[in-house]
Amino acid sequence: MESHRHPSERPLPPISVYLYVGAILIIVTAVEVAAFYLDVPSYVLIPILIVLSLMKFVLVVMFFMHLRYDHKIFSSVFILGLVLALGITLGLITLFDNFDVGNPPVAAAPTPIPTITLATPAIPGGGVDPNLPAGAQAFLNRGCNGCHVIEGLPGAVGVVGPDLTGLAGRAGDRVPGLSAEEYVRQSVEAPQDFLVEGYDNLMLPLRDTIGDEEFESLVEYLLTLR
Amino acid sequence: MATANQMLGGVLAKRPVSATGVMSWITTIDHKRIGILYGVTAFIFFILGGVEALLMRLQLSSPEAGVVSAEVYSQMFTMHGTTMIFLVVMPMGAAFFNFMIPLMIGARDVAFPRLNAFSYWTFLFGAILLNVSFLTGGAPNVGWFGYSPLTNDTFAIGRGVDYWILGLQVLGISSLAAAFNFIVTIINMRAPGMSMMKLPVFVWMTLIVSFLLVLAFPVLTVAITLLLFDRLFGTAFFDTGAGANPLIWQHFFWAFGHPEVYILILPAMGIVSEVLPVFSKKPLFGYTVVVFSGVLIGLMGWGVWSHHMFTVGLGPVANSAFALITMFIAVPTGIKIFNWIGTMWGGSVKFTTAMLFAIGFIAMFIIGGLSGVMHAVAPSDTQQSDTYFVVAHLHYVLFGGSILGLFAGIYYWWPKITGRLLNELMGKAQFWLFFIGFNVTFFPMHFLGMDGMPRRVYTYSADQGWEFWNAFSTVGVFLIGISLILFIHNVIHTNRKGERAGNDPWNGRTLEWSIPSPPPEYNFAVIPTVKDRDAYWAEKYSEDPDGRPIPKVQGAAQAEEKPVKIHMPTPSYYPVLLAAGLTLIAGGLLSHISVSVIGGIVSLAAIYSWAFEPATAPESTPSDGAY
Amino acid sequence: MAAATHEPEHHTSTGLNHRKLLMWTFLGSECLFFGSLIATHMINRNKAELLHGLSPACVLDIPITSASTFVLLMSSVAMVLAVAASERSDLKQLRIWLFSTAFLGTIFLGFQVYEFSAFVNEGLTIGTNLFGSTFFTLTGFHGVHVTVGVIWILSMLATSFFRKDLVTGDPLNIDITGLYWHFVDIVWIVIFTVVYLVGVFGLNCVEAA
Repeated sequence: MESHRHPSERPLPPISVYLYVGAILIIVTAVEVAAFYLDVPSYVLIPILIVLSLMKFVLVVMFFMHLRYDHKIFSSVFILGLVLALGITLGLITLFDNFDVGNPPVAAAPTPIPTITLATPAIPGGGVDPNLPAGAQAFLNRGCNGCHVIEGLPGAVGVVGPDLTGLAGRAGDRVPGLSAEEYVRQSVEAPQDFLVEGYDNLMLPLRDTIGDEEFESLVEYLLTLR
Repeated sequence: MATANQMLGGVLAKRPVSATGVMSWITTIDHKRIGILYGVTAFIFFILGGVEALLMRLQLSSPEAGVVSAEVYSQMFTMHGTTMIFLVVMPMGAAFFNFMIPLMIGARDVAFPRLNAFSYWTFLFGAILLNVSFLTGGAPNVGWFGYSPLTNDTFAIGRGVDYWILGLQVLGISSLAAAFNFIVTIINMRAPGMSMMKLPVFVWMTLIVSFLLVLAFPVLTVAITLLLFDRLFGTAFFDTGAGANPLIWQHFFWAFGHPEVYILILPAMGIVSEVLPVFSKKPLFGYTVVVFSGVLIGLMGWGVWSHHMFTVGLGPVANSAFALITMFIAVPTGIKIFNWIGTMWGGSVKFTTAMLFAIGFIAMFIIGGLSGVMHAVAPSDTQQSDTYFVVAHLHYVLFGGSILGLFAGIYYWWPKITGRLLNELMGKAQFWLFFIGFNVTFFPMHFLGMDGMPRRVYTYSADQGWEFWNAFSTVGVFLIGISLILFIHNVIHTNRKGERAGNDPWNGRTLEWSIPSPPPEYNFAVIPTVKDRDAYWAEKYSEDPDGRPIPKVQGAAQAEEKPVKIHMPTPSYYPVLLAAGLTLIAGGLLSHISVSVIGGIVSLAAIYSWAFEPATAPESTPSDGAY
Repeated sequence: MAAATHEPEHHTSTGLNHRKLLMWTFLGSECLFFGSLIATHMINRNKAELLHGLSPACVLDIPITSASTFVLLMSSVAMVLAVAASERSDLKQLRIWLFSTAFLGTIFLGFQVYEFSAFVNEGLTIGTNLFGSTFFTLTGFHGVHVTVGVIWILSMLATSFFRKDLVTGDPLNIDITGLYWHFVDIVWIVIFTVVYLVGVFGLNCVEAA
């Protein structure tokens, strides 16, 4: 009854091999779970878990799915998919973890950025004015101006979010028990915590993507708006 | 056993028997008929997509024109892009895969004839589902790559985007089924002696495209599924308010989208690699290099997706890495161009219409490729991003590239498909009108883009200085339109009065030219044995010591009459039934859930009936391969 | 005998069966499907606390899931024994092991239903936060694959009663079913490690405001 196997394929193993592999799979899973409950640091545990689960993966594919015995074309088409899937998954994780999206490099001394000729440039003059306070530059560089109005700040024209003109004067009264500074800080760090009536929860939580220095300057600037 | 088969094979209905008429086309599993269905359907959608383009060009022909509203304009550019990519270029490629692959590898059909029929019907129903949105209150209007968060239900109100998602899901099933089929067919059904390195280049490109489809489509499936869940079930995948990063959409879309670009261009490259040697009377220059550069393009195409996203702020490291790989991918592409030119070099070139289209393809693809390399330079791309320069680039690659290549295929294989030659004079006139019209339409877009005209704007003011080139560009569309009318006239005219083609009108090199035109249902009376790369050429010619071809004395002509018994797969109802069932499931999500339930029941019934229906009806053979 | 009744299928350039090659290509394609879903989960795994608390550490139950993982691994062993039985044309053994596989698969699905309803009771649904969205979508799609597998295996079991020839005459029918089933198992091996063990380890349940 081996007639369906290709001449170049190796004969299938005896049943005892399947039972051994099954036993190994169970033991490895038990080791994984046990390791999970041991008090080992994550930089030790996570590589161990990954190696162990890779081992299980390979065992099932080689013995239960017969790739160890079957023709190499079967292995090739599967491994092609597997490698690409792994590549895309790791590529995306790397891109999102290391190159925080929305975090363009910040020049030490901002110079005017040339823009494509648009009908109405978002910022008159085409760049961020280097004479503005650092926090105001951050406000413009981070695109906050696309959603918030601040009277007197050129380019701060968006109407999706609340008008921030005179923010410092009312921030302290917004939430009982929070000072103006605490309120502004938390509003930037966790925009969904305090929604202004009539506005949706649309603001990006940008705190993770900007540096401490820039964040402090932004808070400092917002607290000057009287 | 035969009676058991009849009982189970006919779970729902008796085996279809008609050989002519509408029913025979609906139940057909003959790869040649399915190829024709694909081609005709794709051409109809080509006209539809063309009308959408025409409306856009009319709207832009003068400043602040009022041909269409902003909303309709948005629907037009979305549907034009989606239609041309998923309903024209891909199925037109599939038409040639279907008709030609079995003929070129010396097979009697594809590996899974019923799956093949299923692919076509799923494609047709998916395409209809997508276009039904025009009638039910608004087509999708978010651009063909549907960037999140624009597609979230907060911003894209109405059902247009849902139609887009579900239409693409159904089309994806069709593409996947077809791609699996061709991979197995090409690997497993080659004629004796036809090793992989003796495959015609078109077959190689089909194999690469099929692998790209199989591996890239799941990524799109996941992306549009996540979006669908966001819109229907309130998940948070692209909801910035919940902390999601909508850029994940762009990454997924282009991780699919860039291999997709090669899915669109490689079939045309394959066609051109067949046409050039035949009309230069020389073998393809550097066969091995052309094949492996194709494989390399297929592999490298996976590492360049973020070059569509240079301006979103990935940072200098990521941008540089993707820019570098993108520049490298120009190398295998450039190698192919030198191979094509090398093929013509020193050959006795015959400028038939097919050859003109093939040469036109090379010229236009070089222009599109060069502007592509300009985009690979990230700082330069920052200038060009989202302007008409990009529109010009992608049309030089997909229209000047893919469509010209596909037309070369139409003129080249038309006599094999229909048995009659298209009129060459009309064909050449069509080529020049098409070629000039194309350049008039799209070349000025480079200038407009450099001048800052953003893409996807429905109008512009008179003081922008864009009106001359826009008006100029619109004129070109009419030239293209006239050339297509000429083509349709050519088809109708030669269908009745065209010159009979005979088996081998072009002195071809590959196996499809060794059999009658149009081919009999069983393709090859005797399965050929292949000894050389250009299998049919080697049968006709030997070489003198300088490599010049010498005609062989023709031996005994191959037996043309149908041999005693060839078991061909039998037509079936279940592929079309399953396709309808799956489309109903998708349609139910847009209308009422009961429709989905009916679709589910229909699909299950079709799957089980299909599984127990023998591939070849028991009356003709006792064989009972399940599935 | 098989060679005689399946002559047309055996005539392939590589000598390999069409359907088996199709199944392996399909599994290669499925790798990218699940790879993309897992990538979505990995990118978003730490963003649960941004809205409505309930992060992985609050809800994922490692002991219960370890048990369900054990059940799924056992079903894979049963499946490979069914494939071996079909190679030997041992109809009785084949039915026993097919039934065991489907039974264990159903228990796994039972675990999943229990897990999902427990999460919903704790307040985590597919729309609660990003963790809920990625978790339910990823494991839900895996569950759908398991369901399809169980139905497929039960169909083969039924076939073994009224069309014996399909399961004994052509071992590939069971072989291909097995490939699908084992693939579903290896996907779970990855999910169990990446989503459950690595996903929870070292994190404390912190419920945000």
